[in-house]
Amino acid sequence: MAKMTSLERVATALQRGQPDQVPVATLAITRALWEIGERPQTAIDDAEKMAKAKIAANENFGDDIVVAGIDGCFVEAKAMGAKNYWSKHMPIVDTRYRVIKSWEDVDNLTFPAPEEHPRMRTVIEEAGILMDKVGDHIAVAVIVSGPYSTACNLMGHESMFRAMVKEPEKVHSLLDKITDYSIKYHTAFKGRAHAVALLDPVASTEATSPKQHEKFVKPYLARDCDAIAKAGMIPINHPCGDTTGILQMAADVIPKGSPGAIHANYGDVKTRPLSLKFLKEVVGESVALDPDDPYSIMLKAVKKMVGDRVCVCGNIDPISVMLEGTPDQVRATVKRNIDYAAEGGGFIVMPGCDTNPDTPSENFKALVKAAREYGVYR
Amino acid sequence: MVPRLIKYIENLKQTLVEYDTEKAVELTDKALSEGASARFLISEAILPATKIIGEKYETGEYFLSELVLCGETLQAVMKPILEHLGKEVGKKEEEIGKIVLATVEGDIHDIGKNIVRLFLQGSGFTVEDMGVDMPAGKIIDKAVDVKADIIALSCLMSVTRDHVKDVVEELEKRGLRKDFKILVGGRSTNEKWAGQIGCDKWAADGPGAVEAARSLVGRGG
Repeated sequence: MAKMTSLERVATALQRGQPDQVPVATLAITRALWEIGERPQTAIDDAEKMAKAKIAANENFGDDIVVAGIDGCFVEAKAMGAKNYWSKHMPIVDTRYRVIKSWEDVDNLTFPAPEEHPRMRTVIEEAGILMDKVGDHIAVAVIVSGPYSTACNLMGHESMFRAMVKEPEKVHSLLDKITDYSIKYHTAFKGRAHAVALLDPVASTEATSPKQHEKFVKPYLARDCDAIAKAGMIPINHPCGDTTGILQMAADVIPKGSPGAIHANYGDVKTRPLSLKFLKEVVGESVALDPDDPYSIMLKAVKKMVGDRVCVCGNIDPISVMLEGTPDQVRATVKRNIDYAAEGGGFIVMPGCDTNPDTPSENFKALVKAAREYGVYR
Repeated sequence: MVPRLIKYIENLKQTLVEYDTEKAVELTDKALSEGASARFLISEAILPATKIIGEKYETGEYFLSELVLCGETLQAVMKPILEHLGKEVGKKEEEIGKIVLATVEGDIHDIGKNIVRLFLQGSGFTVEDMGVDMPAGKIIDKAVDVKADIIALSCLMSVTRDHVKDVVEELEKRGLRKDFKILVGGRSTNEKWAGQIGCDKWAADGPGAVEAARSLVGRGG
């Protein structure tokens, strides 16, 4: 097969096709700032610097995707009034301050136009610069928040958990409003990004039960994904964390027949009995668990369960392998991931989540090198 | 124990597991007013309910959201129980250990920490919860001050987990490392890493934290 550009490779995989080789992303997202001697605190308001960093990281590590944004989980909530908190290098939402303390506060939520809100505007501009500079040959993705996680950031997670049991109708009404607004922001990337990754950390089963997921996550996320697809971009669902019990629903939110992907850590079979049970049911009793890499094996089950409907991304542990591991461990994990999920295409190898800024450069390089070496389709 | 009190136990256990706070508090108040001891309620209702909740979490019937709600119910019933315990003779015997608990510096996540606190309190530990974003020095000062057995640390984000190491190093610097056991947990942590940086135990969740804490104070098994 003729050699593809990174963009062609990623686009083919996102359409569940088989490219020339397995596409690879380092997800050196926050970390990219280090490549140009900046830090998130010094560059977050400067779209030019942000884009420059992402391109520098892509050039240094040689992967197939650049990602706009760093605080993707939090931008929508911040636009609606949530306070920023610098957790070392991460600009997260300070949930000690609650925007929604009572249901009356929902009526007073602000919904600034995405182009007029400083943080949203910067991310939109960053994506635009990436698209102009490298978008003809590298895939450009942007990270944004799923409506459910945004609601949790506005209300506080515990209040949300309580409200879902005691006042579900009020929660639905809130999620409706948030989804309408999220869609305005997400579709503003039309022409500036090829793919939109919806980060929804609270939607994983580490926090939310499958029953609640079905009622409070899936319908809103599906509406969001549909709008993104209609705007000509490819939705990637990222319920950051364990997907055991919600995997089918996580794939269902991608509009039927459209390209799209799921990406998560999927589950830790070492500490989660439910993940282990799921794995054994899908893959069989013969699964070999590697204590140093409890994540990769889940790919095998995930690909088998939903690989016919969506592209599957993952699943290198960003902490125990990327941050703590050696280049040799990274190589071995990449090989294992490719063995588990590459067959037939529809697969992109990457860490299960954004990587820690202290992740050694050698590990990013080892990730891409191993993907190029082991990932060629013959 | 008076047989008529036993009828409360099954009901109380059930309401705790089903996070029906109103009913659970009502049953607790009734049982206490009819002569049940706080110790009896803890050993026969609270601890078994905690165990059932933990099992439901392990088997995937319950998730974090249910743990939060169960934790709130446990907290609500522990209030009158602890008040009652204060009046009972031999209170000290019930304290199986004292724990200073905090989310480390730079991290403001507290759901996991709060659940761990509720499970530990529900299992008879005395817990000093220092809250979130807590520097190593302050955690150690508190542990010295209250003569804690265990320092329990929570950390969700990988960018802040170096601050767990700060606590270990600061204890060593002050020559206090042997005075406290260190228990750690949270999304960005794992057992191997916890061992490497010199923690005594790692736990994945609330029920796991109870098991680990019990073994650290010699009550394991």
